[in-house]
Amino acid sequence: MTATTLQASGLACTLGTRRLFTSLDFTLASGQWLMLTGANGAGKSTLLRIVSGLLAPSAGEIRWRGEVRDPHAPRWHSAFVYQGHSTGWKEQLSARENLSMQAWLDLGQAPLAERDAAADRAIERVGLVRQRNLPFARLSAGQRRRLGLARLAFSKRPLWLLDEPTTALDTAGQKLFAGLLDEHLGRGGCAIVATHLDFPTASPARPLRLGEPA
Amino acid sequence: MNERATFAAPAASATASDADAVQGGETVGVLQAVRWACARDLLLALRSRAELALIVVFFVLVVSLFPLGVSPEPQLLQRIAPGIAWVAALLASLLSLPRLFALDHADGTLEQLVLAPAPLPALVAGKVLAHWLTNGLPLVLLAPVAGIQFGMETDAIATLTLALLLGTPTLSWLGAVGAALTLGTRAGSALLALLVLPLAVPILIFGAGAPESVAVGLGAQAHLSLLGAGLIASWVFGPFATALAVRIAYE
Repeated sequence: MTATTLQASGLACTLGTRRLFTSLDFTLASGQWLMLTGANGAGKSTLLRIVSGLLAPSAGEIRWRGEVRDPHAPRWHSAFVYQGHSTGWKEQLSARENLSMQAWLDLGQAPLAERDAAADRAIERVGLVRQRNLPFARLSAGQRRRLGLARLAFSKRPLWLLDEPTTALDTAGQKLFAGLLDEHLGRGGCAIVATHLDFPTASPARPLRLGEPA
Repeated sequence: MNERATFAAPAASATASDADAVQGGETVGVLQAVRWACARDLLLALRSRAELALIVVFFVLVVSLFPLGVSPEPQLLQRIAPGIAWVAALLASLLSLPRLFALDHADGTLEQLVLAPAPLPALVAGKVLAHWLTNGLPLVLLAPVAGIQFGMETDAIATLTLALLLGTPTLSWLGAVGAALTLGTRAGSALLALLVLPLAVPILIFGAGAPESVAVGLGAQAHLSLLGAGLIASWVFGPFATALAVRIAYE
């Protein structure tokens, strides 16, 4: 068995009276990524929130490296990056401030200079150098997404949970994301990506389509 | 409805060097988390200074309205001054509390805090500390001015300030639990007031009672001790209750 493995078994989710999915199983080993597709409202975002631990599933369990993960444990939180619909940046702070603030949480014990250097490198990587001191509120939709990619660029966490990361990105941005994902998988990471679009990644996706009766 | 997508896990080609490999597993300690969250919210407060000024101006206005509304008679004002200061402080804190979590909830940063590799109660404690430093402490510092305005004795003014210093953090914690519980509800701030005001009654009674008992020569020891006990209890239980309420908001 490989080191970083996510295993979900018998996941079910019922929101109110609506059953989104039942007995959903999947496993993910290092170097693999799951492409989560499905119609609007099929439960893609909900599944990502369940895996992250923000939502409790109605049934089923999720194992991380063989152990049932505690959804509230800081140790589990340090294993993944979650990016949902709301990107999670403060509008009053500049792109760089936002990123170095997040770097503190993401990179843990790394010294300040190292964290700032990592944030700067990531900003350069995603092409936001000119905008780095602008308040986040003044960035365009695509540039906002790119800041999310910058976080992925310096993250060393093994699991990515991404909800439509390529929305609003231009072609170059989509290529950039694909490159980041390939690197991440090459380092032995794994990812679950909810998306409607194909993007040019070298690593073949394992498909998981929600909302189709078996 | 029964989807299945089970994959056999092939041996991954983990050729990357150890230094390059994904790590994860680094968590943040309690004190560091408190400091980080507090510094973050202080920086954000600094960026929206106008909102802070609003709280202070609101407090001064409410305090100044009483002589106009009640009576300009000095003896009466001197007697009711502690109560006025406390009611104004309570209303001012209600003005700022809805924003404690609602803004972070709206832009998704609260989600990231909940999923941060740090104990959530510690992050919440940092936020509430920053909230008190920016919204509670200015009122404590303004209280002597209000006391002088109403012609209170020096002893009573000192006691009023001390009582506010002990009582306003407790108000912040009560409000934090309420603010987290009302996350995502419509008319959250009105609901917050309904939730918090009844709970704040004991703080109000002992807080306003302390300077009064000094004024009649009884000493404020008992009142201040009770406020101090409330302060300790709120710092012990507040972080856990608020963290739980924040998690409930997401489920």
